[in-house]
Parts: sequence; structure tokens; C-alpha cells
Amino acid sequence: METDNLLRQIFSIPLDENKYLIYAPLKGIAFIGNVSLVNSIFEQCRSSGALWKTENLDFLHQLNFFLPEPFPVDEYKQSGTQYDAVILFLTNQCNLRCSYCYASSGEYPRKTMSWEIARDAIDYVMESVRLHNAPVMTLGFHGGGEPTLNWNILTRSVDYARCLADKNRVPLQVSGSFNGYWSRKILKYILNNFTELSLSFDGLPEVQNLQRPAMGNKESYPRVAETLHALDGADFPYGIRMTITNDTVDRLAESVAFICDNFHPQKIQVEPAFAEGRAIENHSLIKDIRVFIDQFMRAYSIAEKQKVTLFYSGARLNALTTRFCLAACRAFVVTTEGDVTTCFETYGREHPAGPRFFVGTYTGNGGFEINTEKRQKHFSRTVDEIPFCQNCYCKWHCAGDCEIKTTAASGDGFQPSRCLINQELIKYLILDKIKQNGGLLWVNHHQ
Amino acid sequence: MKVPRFQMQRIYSDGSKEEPKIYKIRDIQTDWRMGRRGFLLTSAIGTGVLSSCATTTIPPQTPQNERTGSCTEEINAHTGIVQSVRFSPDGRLLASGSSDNTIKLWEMPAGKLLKTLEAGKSIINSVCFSPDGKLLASGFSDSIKLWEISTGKLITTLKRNWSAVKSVCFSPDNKYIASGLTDNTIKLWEVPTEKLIITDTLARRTNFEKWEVPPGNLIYTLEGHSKTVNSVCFSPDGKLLASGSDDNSIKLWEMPAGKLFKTLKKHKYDVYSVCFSPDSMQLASGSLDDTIKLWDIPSGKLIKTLKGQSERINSVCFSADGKLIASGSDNNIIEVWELPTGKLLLSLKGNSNYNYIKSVDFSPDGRFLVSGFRDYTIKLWEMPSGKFITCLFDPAALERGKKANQYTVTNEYGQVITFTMPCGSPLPPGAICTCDCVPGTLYVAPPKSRTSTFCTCDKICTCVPIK
Repeated sequence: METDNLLRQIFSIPLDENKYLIYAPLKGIAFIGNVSLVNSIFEQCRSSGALWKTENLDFLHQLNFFLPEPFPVDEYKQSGTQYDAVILFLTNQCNLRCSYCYASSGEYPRKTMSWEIARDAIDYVMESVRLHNAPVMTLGFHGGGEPTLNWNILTRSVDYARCLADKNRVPLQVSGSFNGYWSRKILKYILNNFTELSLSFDGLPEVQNLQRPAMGNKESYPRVAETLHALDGADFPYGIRMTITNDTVDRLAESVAFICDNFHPQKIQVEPAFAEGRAIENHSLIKDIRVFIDQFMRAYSIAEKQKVTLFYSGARLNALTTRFCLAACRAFVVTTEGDVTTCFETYGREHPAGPRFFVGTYTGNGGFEINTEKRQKHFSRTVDEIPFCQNCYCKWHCAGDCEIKTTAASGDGFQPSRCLINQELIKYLILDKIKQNGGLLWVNHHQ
Repeated sequence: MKVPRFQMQRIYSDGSKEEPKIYKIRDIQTDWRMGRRGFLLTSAIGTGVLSSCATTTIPPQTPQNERTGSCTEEINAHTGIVQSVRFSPDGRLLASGSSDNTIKLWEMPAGKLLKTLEAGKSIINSVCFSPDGKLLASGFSDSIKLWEISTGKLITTLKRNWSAVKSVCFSPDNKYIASGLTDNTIKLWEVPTEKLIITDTLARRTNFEKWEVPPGNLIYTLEGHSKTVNSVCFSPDGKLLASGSDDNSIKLWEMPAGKLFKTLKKHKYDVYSVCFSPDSMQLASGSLDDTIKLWDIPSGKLIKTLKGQSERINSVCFSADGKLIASGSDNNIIEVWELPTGKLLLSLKGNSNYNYIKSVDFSPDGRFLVSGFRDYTIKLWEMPSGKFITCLFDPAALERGKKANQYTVTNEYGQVITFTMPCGSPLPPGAICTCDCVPGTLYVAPPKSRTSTFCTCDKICTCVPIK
């Protein structure tokens, strides 16, 4: 059993003729060896008890390379779903017209979340927080539109959540995903009432203006840049989310350099455009992923020099997890119309995958009705349950990737459209770590 | 897509009969576009088992082109973008402000680092010496800090709101500091006066403070621009303050009244830099529209538009005699123009690849031009020849584990210039080795002969003749 466990924890990744990247993710150890070394390690793993020593490889024993590690445990399996975050999709409207918008925001008839739904969602989660003694409650804003366009509900929600949190003596975090195309008034409110933010921003002014124009095809860069400068000036913690399309993939590194030079985000998340909404009709999908990989690694190097964390969600080298997303575990995500969803991308009933991920609905009587069986099905999705991923060195880094992006429209079958990107980036990130650590061996001391 | 199978298993191939080996990556080429087969073929792989990386070969020295300022890689002044460079009024010091949150003071023209002022967590956008050379003002993303040059001591922090400070400038009479901000305003502050003040006397000890900081020293706020004010500059006669903004305009303000005098509106896009001529009769402005414009003061009339190969002019400055204008741009070009003809004299380039120039400044004696780059370097050029001299170097800006050595050469002006090279580089004849291979360790050894010598880097750097 132990032997099997050990063999399932060490991977050999072909690099070139007779060269393999040998990687033990749970130990955080990686180095490059020849075929003979791979086979020797294989034999050592299979030999129970007998220590096989080669003078040159003593260091592997010193690192306890041949002792199996416990597999990552899903901490939520025992506890089940316990909400401590309420995420509200306030509106389907937007003051930008991003070329790749997954929600085709602004094109549908206007929908906004009512105060009753927002209030009752906050109550629902506060009740869960009290029941499970959660250390903190989070109020977040997301969805297929710009949350600040439902300003009244946003501010009322913040005030109400703060009031409840104070009464129950629970710390409150307020965050959200926004476009930053704000007036002074909104900016001041955010600075004074939020604890952190994610801003969607695509970098170079020409890229931002091309991919994220304001309504009427106006340039959005000046105002968003002003927002970012204001956040920097206030030392406000925020992250930037960049979407990469086929039109601008060859400027990814330049855009990251631009961001690092001019702004101070804590982190930058880079994601390729996904085939949804306007991304389909605008052909936003990247045609040659090798360009994306090349540019990402250049950008990674640039960001690292400037001490900014750059990451892509499918290649999180420092993460060891069985779950890609916590939407079904901790976040109570409510759409504009009051549907409870287990996916941040299912913005509303117009989304073709909506019915698959909606697990509950607002009853109108001050509560929500949840289909617990359906929720449990999403809740149970961990990488251990995905046969495709079992022999892959990325499994604990991407954890099977995003469910909506990797399952067929019908919900059956695993369609790993981003697998190659995940594998290549993890591989290059490991090689980069080896290089940075002297060129021979990488040991991740964080694990 | 094929199901991934990377789990550890036996491999059957020709290589299985060799001895087990671990490969070392000496130099990974960052061409991530190579496929798996090509990935390691062009990188320098040494087969070895836990071998060290010592090499006895002398790495090739990057030739220094007079018109291209190519410093050897990693000879950096900072560990972040050099946002602002400024000579002191007497030309003996250079201040550089960087996004690595430090300000450095360099002895010029030797290029020797004198002091590093730690500025906390804020980006430094602008630095400026007081006319008497005693103070340095630095504009940050959230405040202005004033430093005493002789001691490196922080005297005071001026902060009134959260707007980022894009530019700072002292008035010629040393009384005021003007600052351009991202909230579209210009703020005028009173400068602390030098005065011994007894702060307290306790138990026979009297404490002194050398600088009297006036309370509430914001004098006024100038409003008029509709977007970020990127650059402010006092005229040398002190009568006017110029401001350049993202609203494409330049405004001239009467000083010290603060009354708007004129608005100049010929640039098509954001104005990033403004600078008065030494005689206060002209103003130069650099803009996102790739041009430099020369304006007549006080009429405000446009005299000339200069357009070369530069794109997006980040910085402009006049030489002390008013005969030259230098500009630094986003496409890595410094252009030097002759006045009043407007003829392009020099086109100087930095290293390529994602590089640009944020700031340029002439030395007061007109013999040097200094430029601050995105790639963390500060380059020194001889004027008016345009010959590249050196990159300023701080050993603390080296990557951990890297080493460099330094030597000095006396130029035709009799000035001693410091050069920095990677360890093991050959030295030109006449150079005096001032190796600093181990940061903090300095060993000075005169050359044994007038022939070429080279520095070795072991524990102590020594200079030995090449046989």
C-alpha cells in the first residue's frame, strides 16, 4: 500500500531525449535525470525496506524522498457545506463592452437584484456563520455585470452586513470583482468601506482600450488607471485580473511589465479568454497556446523581479489542493434573480449551463430553498474523483481545473480544454524554480 | 486529448543502460516557445553530479558602443525602475528615485554610491534638490518627503490626501515646493527653514532639531487641470510655475500668487514633462503625442515642434547654457537637439527589450547627461559627443550570489570615473582595480604593469596580469 502510494506521488515528465523532470509535488522536490535514474528511483520505490544507495544520490535519502507523504485531505469532506461568504450578483448591466465578456454584459434586458434577495441572502449566511462559529464573514460582489451599477443595493448590503456583523461580533470582509470604471464618489466609498478588491484590467492602454472599451467605444484606460493610482495611493490591497485574447496574447508580457511599472497590485491573475458570450463571436480564443505559454513565462519573470505575484488559475505551483474552487463549500452565490449557484460564471438564467449549476432559489418568503442532493453532487467534485487526472503531475495544483470549463455542455464527460496549458506551465514553473535554486535541485520549503 | 500518464514507472529505452545522472541547468534560455525536444538542447547543460557552478573562463565583455549604452547585464543602480534622476545644483551629486522604494545619492561623475535612503513601501515618482543643495524633495505615491542631504535624515513628510505625487520642484528662492498630483491639482508647500531649535531640556541634556517645519505648511492648492498633473517646474526667475497634465494642456501660473496666467493647448495627448530654459524665456514640453514643443514665454506662442524617432516623451530638460534639449522616451531613445535651430544632434539608445527612459538630466557643467531606465539602470553619457561612459552600479542591486568588480579610469577632463564589470572581465590599460567581489569587501591593488590586467573573483578580489 505504501509502495503504491509512493509511486502515485512521484512523476517523471519527459523533457528531451533521455532527460526527464522528476517531480514529487507533495514533497516539493524536483530535479532532472536520465532514463537510468528514473528507473533506479522506480526500483527503489518498489523495494520494500531495502535501502538502495548510490553515492551520487545520497541526497535523495537525506531529503526523505522515498518516504510517502499523506495525500492532501479535503477539509470540507467531514464538515460539509458551511457558508461563511455571501456573493451577490447585483446586475447584468455594465458600463464597459469587453470584447470577450462571458456574460455579453449589457446586451440583455436590464436585471438588478432586489433589496429583499440581497438582505435575505446576507441573513442566510450570517445564520450559517453563527451556527458554525465561523471566524469571519465575507460579503462579495460579482456576476455578469458591474456591481456598482446597482449602487443602491450595493451600499445598503454593505451597511446591513456591517450592522449584522457588529451585532454578532463577527469580523466582516467586504470585497468584489469590478471593472474600476468609476466616478470619484464610488472610488471614495470603496476605499472607505471595502477590505480588498479584484479589478479587471488588461494592462497596456491600447490593450485595455481595445479589449475593454467603455460604452460608445470610448477609452476606458484613463479612468481605470486613475482608480488604480488612487488605490495605490491609499495602499489599498487589490488584485488585477487580466484576460488574454488572441488579438493581444503576444503583448501579455508587455502588459504585465506595464502594470508592474505603473501600479501596485498585490497579485495579477492572468486568464485566457474562454469560449462564452462575446468571446465566441469576437474570436477571442487564443489560437496558439504556445504563444500564451511563452508570454506567460516572460511575464512571470518580470513580475517576480518586481515582487508581484503573477498566477494563472490552472497552474498554481504553491497550491496543493483537491478542489479548484470553493463555491460549493463556503460561498453562497446568488444570482440577480435569486438563484443559488455553485459556479461564479453562471451569471443568470441566460447562461446555457445555468440549470446545471443552480442548486437553489429564493422563495420570496424570506428564505431560500436548496436542492441539497444537487448541491452535494457539486460539492463532491474533488480531483480524486476525476479519473482523467489521476496520473498527472498537475493534479494537486489545478485540482481538475474549473468545472464549467472542463465538462461538456450536457454535463457528462470530462473535456480538459486547458490541460495542455496547465501541464506546460507547471512544468516550466518547476524548471524555473530549479534554475533559480542553483540549477540542480528544487526543494519547496513552503511545504 | 490523451489521458496524462506521468506517474513514476519503468522506462524502456536505449538510455536505460547508462549510469544514473542528474542534470544541471546552467543557463535556461527563456525561449519558452521551444518544444520539448528543443527545450534543453540549446541551454548549457553540464553533466555532473552535485557539481558546483564555478567556471574559469572569462565571460565575454559587452562592447560599449558610443551611441548605444549597453551595460553588461545585471549592472544595475536599483532593483526597480529608475523613475527620476536629478543632478544637484553643484553637479557633485546625483539623486535617483526608483520603484524599488529607495532614493540613492551618487558622487558624480565618479558614479560612486554614497547613500541609500529607504522610503518605506511607496514608489518614488520624482526627486529634486533644493537650490542651495541642502535638501532633497521626493514625490511618492502618497506623500512628499524632505531629506537633509548631508546626513541622509528624513526631515518631514508632507501629506494632505491620498493622491499620488507625480512631480516635485523647489522654487528658485528655496521657499516653496510645488507638487503635481493625480487628483488633478498642484499643491504649494512651505519649505522648512534651517534653524537650531531647542526641543527639550531634560536632566542637563538639551536636544536640538536642526530644521523648523512650519505647522500646516500647505500654502495653497491650484485647481484647473482636469486630469493628473504629471510635471511641475518653476521658471529660474521664480515668476512662473509650469504644469503639464494628462488633459493635454500646459498651464502657467503666476508665482507666488498662484493665479492662472496662461493655458497652452497644442499637444494632442498627455503632457508628461515640462522644463523652463535657463533664461526663463522658453518652455519645453514632452508629450504622449511623441513631440517636444518649444514655447515662448511669456507670450505662450508655440515656437517649434521637435519630432524625431522617439515615441511618448517621458522627460525633457535643457542644458545649463540653454543650447541643448534632451528628451527620454518610451521606445528607449534619448534625443539631443540643438537650439535654436531644432536640429537633432544625437540619438542615444539603451538596452533593448521592454526598456524605456523615465528621466533625463544634464549636469550643471554641461559635460554629462544622465538617464534613468526601466531596466533598473542609470546611464551616463558624455556631452556633447554622446559617448556612453558607464552605468552606475550598486552591489546591493545584484542578484544574490552574483558578483561584480569595479575599476576606475581618469578621463581627459581629469575626472575619475568608476566602471563596473562582471567578475573576471579584462581591464583596459591604466585601469586601477577597485574590486568589490564580495559585497562590503574592497581591495585596491594597483596594476603591476601597464599592460592589461584582469580581476579574479575568489574570496578576495585581486588584480593579476595576463600572461
